Amino acid sequence: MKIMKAILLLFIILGIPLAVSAGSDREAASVASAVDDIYGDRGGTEELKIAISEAVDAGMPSEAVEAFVREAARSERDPGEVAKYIRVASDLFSVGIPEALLFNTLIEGFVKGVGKEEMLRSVGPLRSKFRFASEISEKHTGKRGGGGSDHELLLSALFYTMNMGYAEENVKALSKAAGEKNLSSRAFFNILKISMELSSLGLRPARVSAIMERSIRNGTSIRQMSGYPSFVREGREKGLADNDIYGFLMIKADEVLISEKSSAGTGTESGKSASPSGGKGGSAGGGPSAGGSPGGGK
Amino acid sequence: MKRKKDYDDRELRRAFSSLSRIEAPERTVRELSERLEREREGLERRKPTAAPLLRIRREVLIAVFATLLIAVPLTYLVTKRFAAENVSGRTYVVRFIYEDENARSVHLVGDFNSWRSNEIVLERAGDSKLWSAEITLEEGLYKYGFLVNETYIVSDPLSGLKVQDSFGNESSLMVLADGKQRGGSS
Repeated sequence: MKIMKAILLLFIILGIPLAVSAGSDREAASVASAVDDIYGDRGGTEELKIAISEAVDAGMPSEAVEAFVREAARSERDPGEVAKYIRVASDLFSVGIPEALLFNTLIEGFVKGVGKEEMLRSVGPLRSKFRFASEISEKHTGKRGGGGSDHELLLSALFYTMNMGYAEENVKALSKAAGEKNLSSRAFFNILKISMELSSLGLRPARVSAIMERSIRNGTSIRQMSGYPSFVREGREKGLADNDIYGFLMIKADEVLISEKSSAGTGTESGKSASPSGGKGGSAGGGPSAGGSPGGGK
Repeated sequence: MKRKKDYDDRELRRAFSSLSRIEAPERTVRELSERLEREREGLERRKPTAAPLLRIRREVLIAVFATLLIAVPLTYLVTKRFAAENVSGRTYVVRFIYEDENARSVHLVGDFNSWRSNEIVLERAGDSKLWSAEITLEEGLYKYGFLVNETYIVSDPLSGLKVQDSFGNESSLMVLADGKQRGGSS
């Protein structure tokens, strides 16, 4: 009886990794046969099949790999070239970058006709950006990942913020200020979103970062900060220079402090408001677009 | 430090045994008896009237009640907070509009469909120069663009949010979060 139990235990211990390995082998084989379908009898697919097998063994979902190969073939990419991308993606996947982000980045490059060398060169820096974004996001959400989580949302926002030219020190400064003010991860996400909008309107990331950091430290609400992009647009319409807009936004960032002081009875600068139109008050609300109904309603 | 005894135990015991019985005064005996009686009655009164098991049950009941009193509102608050942060189930219907009178075809491409060029077709509204498509998306950030005539991709002119892709080209970014949409066409 004891021997039987020992044999059963041994089967279980050995069986699980074997089953997992057999499963990934089967998946890799299925993608490899898809390669034959996609590329036909075109040469050079062996290297691609090996790269696919390695990627699937590393834990990349076979469906994602197959979809990527199909898109690559559609964009008339050479199998050898695709193998290189899969190897780079697999390497980045091993440090925790989601495969969707990697493949979307590469496919976007295909669709936009980016050359092989440029693509390989551009994908490299993803690792450091992702590590940094992941570190900051974990600080605010206390999580490492999960589908549709706040962590994932914040991670994407941090990632795109950095793509817009924000240096690590800019993001760190915002993160530090938000942390000191105990802002929620959602609030920090909104701050990044507003920062991106301001940069889209042409303000330099370092300046945006200074404005937002000051606003956070002064206790400006997210709602008030959401008015900054409209304020910039208004300023541009009135022909104000970037320096003036920056100056006005810095005053707006101090408005909370000023109003706090005045309500506390200091009486100085009561009612002062920065506006390109000359003191009528900053414009609020009105993002670049409206719409999109939550909950699936139209 | 241990103190040395300056008497002998056996001597002491002998001395006690040699003592003659002392008769207490009657009054003292009566007073002592009355006091003892009172003490006994007091002890009787303090005796548990209910079974010990029942007493424990009552304590348990109190503990359960107290726990419920704290746990129910706390659970409600935690659940409510979690529900507010649970983003996975939130979906958005987004309408994309592109204006181009010379275009022969317009497709929507983006992170949401892995940039597949032939999936989302924008329909032309009659003979107008407006092209539009409507899709349902989950909360998240999406880069996207319009593929015109199946040859070139343009960023969304109506979107205020533009980011650089990993290759230095401009892309439109759409942020779907907190019940608000940023960056989409419509």
